[in-house]
Amino acid sequence: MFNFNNMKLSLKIASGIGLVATLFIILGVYTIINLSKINNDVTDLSAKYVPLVESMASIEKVYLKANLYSKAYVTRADEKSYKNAEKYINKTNEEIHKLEKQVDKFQNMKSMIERLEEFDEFLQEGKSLLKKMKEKNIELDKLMAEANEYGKALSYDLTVYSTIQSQKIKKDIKSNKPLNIVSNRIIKMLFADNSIDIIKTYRINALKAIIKNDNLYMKDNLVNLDKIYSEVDKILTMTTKDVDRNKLNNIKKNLKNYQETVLKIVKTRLKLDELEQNREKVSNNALAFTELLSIDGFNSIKTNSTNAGQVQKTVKDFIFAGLVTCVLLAIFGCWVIISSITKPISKIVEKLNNTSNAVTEVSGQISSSSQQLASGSAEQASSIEETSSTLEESSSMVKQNTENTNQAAGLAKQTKYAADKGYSEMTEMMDSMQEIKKSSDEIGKIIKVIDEIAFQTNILSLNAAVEAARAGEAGKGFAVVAEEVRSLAQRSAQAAKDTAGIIENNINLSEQGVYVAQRVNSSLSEINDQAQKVSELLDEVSTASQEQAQGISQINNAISQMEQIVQNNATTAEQGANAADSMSVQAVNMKNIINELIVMINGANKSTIADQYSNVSVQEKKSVPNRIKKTAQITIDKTPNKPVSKVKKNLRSNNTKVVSPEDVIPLEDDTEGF
Amino acid sequence: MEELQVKSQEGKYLTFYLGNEDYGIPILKVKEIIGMMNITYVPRTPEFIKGVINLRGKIIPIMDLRLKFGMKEKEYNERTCIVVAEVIINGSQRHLGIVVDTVSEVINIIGKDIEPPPQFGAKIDENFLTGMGKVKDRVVMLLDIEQIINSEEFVALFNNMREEETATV
Repeated sequence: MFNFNNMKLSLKIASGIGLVATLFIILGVYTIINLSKINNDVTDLSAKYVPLVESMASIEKVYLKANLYSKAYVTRADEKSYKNAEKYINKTNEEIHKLEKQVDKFQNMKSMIERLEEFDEFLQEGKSLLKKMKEKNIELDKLMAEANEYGKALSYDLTVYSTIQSQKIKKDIKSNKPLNIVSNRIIKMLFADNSIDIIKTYRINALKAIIKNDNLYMKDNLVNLDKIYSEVDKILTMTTKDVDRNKLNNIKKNLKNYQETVLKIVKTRLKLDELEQNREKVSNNALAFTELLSIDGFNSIKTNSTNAGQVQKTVKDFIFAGLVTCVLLAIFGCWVIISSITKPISKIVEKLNNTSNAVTEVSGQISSSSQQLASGSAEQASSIEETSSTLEESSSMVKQNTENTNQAAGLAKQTKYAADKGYSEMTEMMDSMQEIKKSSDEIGKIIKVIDEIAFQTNILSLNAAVEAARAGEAGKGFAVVAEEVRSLAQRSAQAAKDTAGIIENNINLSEQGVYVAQRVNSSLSEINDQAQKVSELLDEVSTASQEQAQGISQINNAISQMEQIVQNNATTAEQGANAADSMSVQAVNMKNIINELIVMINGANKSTIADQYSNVSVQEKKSVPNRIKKTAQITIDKTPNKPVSKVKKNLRSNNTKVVSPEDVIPLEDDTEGF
Repeated sequence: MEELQVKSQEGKYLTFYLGNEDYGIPILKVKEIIGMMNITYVPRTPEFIKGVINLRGKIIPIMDLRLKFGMKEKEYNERTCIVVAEVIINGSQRHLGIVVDTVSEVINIIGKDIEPPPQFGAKIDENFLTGMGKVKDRVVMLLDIEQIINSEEFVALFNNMREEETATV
């Protein structure tokens, strides 16, 4: 890991400043980026959103006009209103297309295009509805004209019929026609007048209903005209002339046509109402859309501006926070750097001070140790002399040992030789035994042969006896010979048998002798082995004794060397004591240098720490035992006088206590003991 | 011959051993005594017939007396002997080799020392025994060889051999 404490001093300072500078640069870059962002937002607001809102407002305006003219057309049903309405609808359409083109540029307003298209659809629907209404109105006008004609015709026919009847009544009265005819005529005339009244009333009421827009009334009151049909039928029964009948029928037909036309009118009007309702709905929807559009526009502007404001606020906060952080970091960095420089130095100074104190103390210790070493060396020398004399004694004893061992080894060798000789003789004896046994076996074989011969002789003698017996009296002498031969054979067989027994005994004895010889043999070989071992052991003892003698002579050499070394040690110890004294003087020098360093770090005013350090050193200086003073004479000889006097001066200038020269430099009185 | 028989058993006997017992056959029945020779085995013969030997150009059947007497067979050694006896079968003289443990001696047994064979307890049919000879403190069983071999087997064997002999002659 990277360690700040291990860095160079200059690098530490440079890194501190560099850190602060880097932070400021980061802050500045961030601010510039965010300000440009805010600027972009504001530009967007003026360049994009404001025209959008304007066109949205104009769409609303134009459409309101279109709606107004449409309503006017509904109430008036005139050509001018219709045209105006159409004109404004088209205008609205154009405006929508314009807006669509504008909106198309913005990625974030795709939803608005959809909304605008929907709105356009409403507009087109409204337009078509208006067109349908216009068609219906034209139809209505036609029907109205038709109804009017039928009504007029009916009224005219009835009036004519009434006039004719009244003229006929006058004529009949004049010509004194029977009363029933006259009354019929009166009935006819009354019917005509009555009908005219009914029709008139209905037509007036129908017009009123149209004005009031009461279609139901027109439809319901058509029943009132049905009375006329029954009246006409009644009068037709009374009428005989075809001309009259035709007239009446014509009236009937017209009435019917009128009724139908009125029904058609009612139907058309109802349709118109329906259309109007639809259109109203559509226009309401469209109006709601226009409102939504303008609200959308405003909202987008609002969000944009709030966004910009927020960004601005964030930037402001960030800059503020950044500034505070930078300042804090700078303070902290400075503190870290300063402490990292001063702390280690003061620590080092403290350590140096401690070390110099320790050095002073240690030099004293070394001096005393050297003294001890010198006295110890003397003691060692005397004890070494004693050891040397003892060693000489033991050396002579070892020599005697060696001689004795050599004699014993010779004896052991002689024993071994004797055992060897006994062994070889024993082996010879065993061979002889074996030969005895062999020859006994051979004798046995010979005896067996003799025995066999005896047997054969016996058989021969028996055969001879048989032959003698066969020969009868002549063979008697021969039989005696045969008997003798037989007894000889038997004796020789007996002798052979006895000899065989003796030989067998011999063989057994020689076997026993072989067995004993073998045992003796093994005992002798054991003796041989033991003698060999004794000889070996004695050899080892002998060599060990020789080695011992060599070792003792080596020890003698070593002791003489040791004597020399002890003498050297004594002189070296003295030199060490001198060196320790000179070291203590050097330690005092070092202390002065440290004091200078302390002043440099803490300033001349704050000399308290320095005093503290130097006090300690003086106290320790005082506690150094006298032996240093004794040995310090050599130090003065080796080091020039100037540094010593300098040391004295420094001690005086920095310390409140004045150290007497006797404490540092030894006086001649003290050197007596040295 | 007839006189000798009338004079009962008195005369010279060749004694031999079978096991621990002494046996004796009249010396005049003995042709000669020979040591053991190579015996040629003849098939389809009784167990006690060991075979035949060629004694100086003469074929002689060999009988093991131990086996004939129903004793345990003993391996032949240098002491084993063949006693060639002269026997009369169907009126013609024939030679027969008898294998014995070993031959002992030729002794003369006088009449008063010979007693008739006992009527019981003998190991062999008393027809074989002609008497019991007392020699010093021993007893010698005196045998009649012809009685021993007087059986159908022997007759058949010798007949065959004669036929063979005549055929060869």
